[in-house]
Amino acid sequence: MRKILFNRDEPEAHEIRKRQDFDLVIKKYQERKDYWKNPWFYGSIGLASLISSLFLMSL
Amino acid sequence: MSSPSLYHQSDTRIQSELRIIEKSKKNPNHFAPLYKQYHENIFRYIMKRVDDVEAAYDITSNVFVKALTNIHKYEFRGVPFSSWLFRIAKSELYQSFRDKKARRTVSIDKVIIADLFEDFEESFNEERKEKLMEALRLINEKDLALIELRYFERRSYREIGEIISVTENNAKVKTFRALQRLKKVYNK
Repeated sequence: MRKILFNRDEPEAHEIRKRQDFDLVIKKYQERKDYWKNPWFYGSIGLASLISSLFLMSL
Repeated sequence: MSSPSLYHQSDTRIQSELRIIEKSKKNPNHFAPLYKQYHENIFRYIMKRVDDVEAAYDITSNVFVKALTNIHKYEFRGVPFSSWLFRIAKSELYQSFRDKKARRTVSIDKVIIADLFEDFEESFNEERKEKLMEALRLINEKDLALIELRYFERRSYREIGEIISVTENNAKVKTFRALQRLKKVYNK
C-alpha cells in the first residue's frame, strides 16, 4: 500500500549538500568493478554451468 | 521545497558536460562536478517517492554508482544528461521497492494539490483532499508516475518524455489519459 504524505518537510539544500559524498560513490563503483573482474565470480558461474550441464545430460 | 531546475541548459553548458563525461569514461574521478551538480535534483526526485530520508540518500548514492558504471554507454543523442540520470534514478527506485529497502510514497503539497483541483474544476477542502489521497493510492503505478512528474513536480512534457523514453507528444497524451483515469477513480 502506498503511503501518501501531505505537506512533508524536506531537507534544506545546505543539508543535502552536506550529505554529498563522492568518495563513497567512487569506493562503491570500484567495489562493483572489482566484483565483476574477480575470477572467483566467473569460476563459480562456470562451475554452476558445468554442474547444470552434467545434471541435464544425466536425465 | 522545489528543486532547482537544471533541465533547460545552454549549448555551452551541454558541451562542457559532454567534455566531463568523456573524461569520466577514462577516469571516474572526473565525474565529481556532475555529481555535485545533479546530486540535489536526484535526491529530491527520490525523496518524494520514499518515506525514509536515509533510504533516499542511499538510493541517490547508488544512482551515481550505476551512472559511473554505465558512463561508457552514454552517448549524447539530444537527450540531456540529467534525463539519463533520472532514468537510472527511476530504475534504482523501483529496485529498492522490490528489495523492500524503501516504501513507495507519494509526497504532495497544498499549493500543488490546489492546482490539481482546478483541473478537476473543484475547490480544495479537507474532505476532497482525503478523497484525492485515496484515489492516488488506487491508480496504477504508470499513471501515478506521470501525475507526479507533471502535476507534483511541474516538469515539461519534453522532459517527461525523455525520462520515460517516449516523444514529447506521447508524454502529453499519456499524461492526459492518466489524469482522466485519476478523475474517474476520484469521482467513484
